[in-house]
Amino acid sequence: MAIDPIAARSTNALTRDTILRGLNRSQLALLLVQEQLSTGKRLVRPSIDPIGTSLALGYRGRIDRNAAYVKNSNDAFARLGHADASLGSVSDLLDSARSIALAQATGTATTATRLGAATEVSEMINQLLSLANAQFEGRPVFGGAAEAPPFAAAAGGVAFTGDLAAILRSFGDALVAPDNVAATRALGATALLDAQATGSATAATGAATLTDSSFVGHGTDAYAGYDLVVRTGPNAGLARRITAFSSATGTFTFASAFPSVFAGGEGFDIRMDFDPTMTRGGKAGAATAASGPGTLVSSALTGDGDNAYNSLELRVLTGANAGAVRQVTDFDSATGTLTFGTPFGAAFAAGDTFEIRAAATQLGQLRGGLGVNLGSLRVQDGVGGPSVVVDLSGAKDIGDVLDAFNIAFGTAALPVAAGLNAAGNGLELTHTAAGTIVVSEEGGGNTAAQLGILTAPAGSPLVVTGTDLDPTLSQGTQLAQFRGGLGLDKTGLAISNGQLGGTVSLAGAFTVEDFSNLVRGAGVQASLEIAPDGRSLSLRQLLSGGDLRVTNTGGGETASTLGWLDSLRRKDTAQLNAGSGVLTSAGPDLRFTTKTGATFDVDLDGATTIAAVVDRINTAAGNVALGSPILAYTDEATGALFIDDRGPDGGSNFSVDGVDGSFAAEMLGIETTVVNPVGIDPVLTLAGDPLNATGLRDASVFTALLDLRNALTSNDTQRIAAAADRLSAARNTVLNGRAEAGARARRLELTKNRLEDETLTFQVLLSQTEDLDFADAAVRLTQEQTVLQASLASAAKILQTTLFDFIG
Amino acid sequence: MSLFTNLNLGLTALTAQQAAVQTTGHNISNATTPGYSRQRVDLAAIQGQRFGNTFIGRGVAAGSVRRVIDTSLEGRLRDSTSRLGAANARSGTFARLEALFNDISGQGLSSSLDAFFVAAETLAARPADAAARGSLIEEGAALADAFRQVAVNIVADRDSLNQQVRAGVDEVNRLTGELARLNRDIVASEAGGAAPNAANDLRDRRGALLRELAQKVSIRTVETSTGAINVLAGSEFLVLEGTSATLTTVAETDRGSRVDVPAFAATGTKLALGGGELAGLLESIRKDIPAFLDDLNDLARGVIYEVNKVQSSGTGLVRFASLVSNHATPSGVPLSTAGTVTGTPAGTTVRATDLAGYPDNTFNGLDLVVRTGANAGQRRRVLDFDGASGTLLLDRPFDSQFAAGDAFDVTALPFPVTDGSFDLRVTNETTGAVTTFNIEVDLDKSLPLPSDSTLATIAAEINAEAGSLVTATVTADGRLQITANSPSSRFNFAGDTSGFLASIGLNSFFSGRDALTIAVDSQLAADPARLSAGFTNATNDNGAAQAFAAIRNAKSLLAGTATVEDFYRGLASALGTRSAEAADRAESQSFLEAQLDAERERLSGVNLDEEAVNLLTHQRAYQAAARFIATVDTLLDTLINQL
Repeated sequence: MAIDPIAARSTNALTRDTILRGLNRSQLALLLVQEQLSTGKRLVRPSIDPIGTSLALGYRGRIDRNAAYVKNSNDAFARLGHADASLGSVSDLLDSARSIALAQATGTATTATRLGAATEVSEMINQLLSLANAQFEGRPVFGGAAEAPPFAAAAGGVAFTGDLAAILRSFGDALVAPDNVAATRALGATALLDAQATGSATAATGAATLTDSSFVGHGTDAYAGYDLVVRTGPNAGLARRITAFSSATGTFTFASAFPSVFAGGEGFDIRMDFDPTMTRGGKAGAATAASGPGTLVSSALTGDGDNAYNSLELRVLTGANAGAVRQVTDFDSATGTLTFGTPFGAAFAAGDTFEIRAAATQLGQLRGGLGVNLGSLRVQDGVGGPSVVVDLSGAKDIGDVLDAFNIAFGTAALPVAAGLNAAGNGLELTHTAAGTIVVSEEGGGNTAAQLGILTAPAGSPLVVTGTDLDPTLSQGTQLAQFRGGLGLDKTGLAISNGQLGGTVSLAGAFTVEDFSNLVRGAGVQASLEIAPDGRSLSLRQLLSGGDLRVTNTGGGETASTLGWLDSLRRKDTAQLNAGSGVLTSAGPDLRFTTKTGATFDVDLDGATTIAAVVDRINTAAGNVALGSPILAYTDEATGALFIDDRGPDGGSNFSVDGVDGSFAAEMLGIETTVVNPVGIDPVLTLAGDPLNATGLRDASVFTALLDLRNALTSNDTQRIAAAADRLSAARNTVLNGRAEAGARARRLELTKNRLEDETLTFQVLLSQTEDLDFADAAVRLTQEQTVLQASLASAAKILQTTLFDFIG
Repeated sequence: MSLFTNLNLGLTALTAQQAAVQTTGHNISNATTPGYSRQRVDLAAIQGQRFGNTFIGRGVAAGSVRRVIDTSLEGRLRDSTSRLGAANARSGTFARLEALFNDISGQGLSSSLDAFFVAAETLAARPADAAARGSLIEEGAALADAFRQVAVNIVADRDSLNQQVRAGVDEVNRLTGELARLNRDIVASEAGGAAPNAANDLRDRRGALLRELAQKVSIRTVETSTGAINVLAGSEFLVLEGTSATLTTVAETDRGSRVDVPAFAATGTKLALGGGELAGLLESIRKDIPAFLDDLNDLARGVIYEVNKVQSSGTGLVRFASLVSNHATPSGVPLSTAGTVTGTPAGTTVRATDLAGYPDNTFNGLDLVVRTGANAGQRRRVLDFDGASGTLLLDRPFDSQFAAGDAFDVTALPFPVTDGSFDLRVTNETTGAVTTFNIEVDLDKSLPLPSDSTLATIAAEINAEAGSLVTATVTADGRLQITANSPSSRFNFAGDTSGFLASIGLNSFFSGRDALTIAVDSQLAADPARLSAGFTNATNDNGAAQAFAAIRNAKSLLAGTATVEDFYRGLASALGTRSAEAADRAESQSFLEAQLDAERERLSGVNLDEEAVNLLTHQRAYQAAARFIATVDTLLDTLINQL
């Protein structure tokens, strides 16, 4: 303590206090060092080093987190290893099965040896079941998220009851990966029946229509609302919207004509985009006023936006129309009036309750599933007029967007109302006082552009009609919203799958989810899925050894519209001849001899589908520039390939033969000669043999073994050989599955090593931050001790002496 | 002039030196008495006697005994004592708060948080495993315990500080009583100023008491002409002449806890506290502890809300036949109504023109929760609502000034709920068929006004859409109850974008609304199968377990800028900084005090060596005076006997 030398006057109490203070400080310092020494930590309290405390907590959190990731890696590594081991056994099993197949396919094998081998294969199937149902720590290895066991013998095959979920785990802050291998990838289980329709013109038409007789009976307007894309011929690559479809003739009518006429033989696909309308979602309520049977008024719906409920199906719950369902064709937001395409049976009374069950179109569903990322935009009443900024950043679905607009317009008293456009696929802003609407971006974003309502700077008079926002399907999408509101015929489907069969009536179904429940309830080992692109629905074949086929029932067109209809056209050649497929040879496979006596060859290499085979024949026929075309098509009634020779009569017979020893003509059922009754019939039709095509089968290890067993039992050499090929393919699938598991395991190992290195670094940092430097502490301890001792010693001396000791 | 006069002169010297010796003795005896000021006898030569043309001295007179004291220094010392008292009180509070953080030893809240998230990772590996499920719930319970323990300790600490305030007030009363008595005694002893130094020791005693008082409260003193000292705290008299004002404590409520505020018993006026231990204690009670508790509550609320959002939107191994929400809200009032502050409100009134149009009293009894601005996160009770102007009357003012445009919500629910929707999924447990009903939570204040969702409209919407499968009712106390209609139907929820489920507490992981009330939901604790490990009905779906674990790295706190861990680190670091600051302030104040003390001691303290010298001097003077008398006596003897 500094003492002013002039005023220096020390007193005994001052001396005492000064000494005590010094001693106290030394002792506190000693106490801290001792506390640090006894805990080994520098940071015994946050206040010693607040920043260090924060750092230490951060390091410790990091270390703990890494430890959890490493634990996850180890766990997943073990799990993938288990999957790999199981797949290794599966692969061995398939090798032995293939040896059996090759041995029994030879001439030396007898019925008796084949029956014996069949028993052996049955045993293998049981073994395979137990391998495929392998579990690791309570979770099935190939069952996704489902409860074990995922595979079970059912209906003469093996049913997959698991799911294909990827079980995601965290292996690092930004590294999330599955710790399982899906049954599809590891074992080839399940197959998808996609929405698909393909054909080729069977008659010469104009440019505004196209006829394919193999589509006869698919149901009236079954394909209206879809686009038809031409595959071959002069219109190749072009698409037109189908506006009508005649089930009687198989004729498609287009919204606008193609540039060229169809001569027959042109291949085409129908683009199965279910193209649902947008909606603000379901609503339940009550009529607030009496109305006729064609409309329903509910004031609770006012302000929800024009057309916001269009194309949805509404069910009346109480009143005269209780239980009846109708599709809404128009919604007027100002009055809350719903108009129906078909009037109800009776008028509505106030208080009649109703429900619309559908999910709102989420913003993530827009633009084909890309979604939109919204900010703000500005809407102006005429150029230079009053305007309002609409903040859409909080919007989650179309209803939120409409509400945000209408609230902003209401608050700013702008004479504009927001709703959906008449097509139900975009927004629409309507000026309520016949002015001009200007929509511009606000805050540098592209919100208006994303929503398709950006106008030119001069604005748009009366109305801004938004562009098609192309929403995808969701579980809550109503079937009535399909095809831009044309909806899906609800007559139903007949589904057969091996020994199983059933019909699914959609009468009570509103949404995709309802549909999915009905399919599940049909007990045909199939499940409904939304296709990955969100544009169509697929049916998943869950039964290995099954044979999935879907047809229309009750004269409806449900299966046609869904693109699931069983037809020869959509088959792969591998599905022909009860699954034996079609063998082609290098070079030309088929030789055609026409009525004119001309010949041409068709090469089928790479044509793996019937549609491709038909295209090849039709294209080749066109290429040889015959006097009249050869026209190939499928005859769906007999399940056979038909070929017409419509050329001029040259007196020759019309025949198809194999070339260079190719079996393709025989296997396609067309190796035959049509005798030319000279001078009578200008068109010779070659009616092929029925091709005995299977339905949708999966390419699983089970199917391969089941095929082998059945082939052995039925003593069919050709099928035994086909089964051997299937076994090879299945083995490749398993190998790929193993490779996938192995690659992932290796990646996890690398990540783990990196994390462990990182942990070490953080441990060093943590130690540097929070641990005590013992050498430093020891020095400090000694110092403080010395100071204390010196203080004590000097205090003892100073306090002893006063003048009184020396006087008297 | 005569020889007898000289004898008398000697006598004055003897008397004076005796007085000086006695005073020195007094000083020596009081060398260690706290607050004692050394005394000095004022010796003065007696005015000389005229002798012809000259004056001859008549001896010495012992004047008054004076204290050696610097009154301005005493005042500065008292101020410093007040500041030290306040600083010590706060530094003590922080030291205790720091002790609640035993994280550095690795067993605090942060390790409980870690353990919880690690358990979530383990669950992600084995979603259907009973042990893994139980473990996450157990770690959740441990986390809740850790939160509660810290919170309870903080509250207990606050209670003990209140007790210290009350004890401090008692001490002040004792001191002011004593001071009033001393004032009376001093005035009496000094005869109302006639004998200014008559009461030296009483004055020292008074000085010591004033310092003790200053340690408790900061005071100002005014000495009157009669020798009494009036003591003021702020502008109120604590001691006025011979009387003292009695203090008492008035209980106030601050953020739901009691604060004892010192006030005058007679008038009820609150004591002005500029410094002193009481000021420090109140600062701790009002600011330091609530600030820390608020931070802790924010963290707890963040954890509760985020965890519950995952749990409520997920699927357990079992789904529900019946469920009642943990929290309640008036059934006819919008779940949450957003407002924007109009103007710059002061006091307890907040005006929001965008709330105008709702009926009067709509929001009475609800809470106003500030979303943006200086008061973000604060919550006040609405006492009254005027629909015409959109004015809300609150139970107490906000901590900071509002700015126009600050956004707030009026709600009865403990957590935010926004415009959005959630899915009610009903599973037919026999067929496995799932039916999803999208329930809209409409809180966009769309026109007309009553369109926003209330608990009643949510229940009605559930009944209208899913009435064939489940029944929703609002209980008498304002909770939402959902019951499946058929024994084969079970329900759960999914995809909540509104926060409604977590906010009202339907299928919660944690019950409670802050660090003091957090606990694992009792139904979940009783049945671990309820724990949501996935988002689908698939037994081994681990989506929700992953989502629980992801909360750790999600920036969910401080308006989306901090993860749970960041927030906690900030909390620990801020506490350390504040504590270090408070300790530094206390130490430097103590240093200053020591300096002033030393200054006072240097002036007024007793130095025994000095006193020894004084003693010797006075002894010698006394001896000399006695010798003088003896000499005069000899002179007299000569005169009487020799003549």
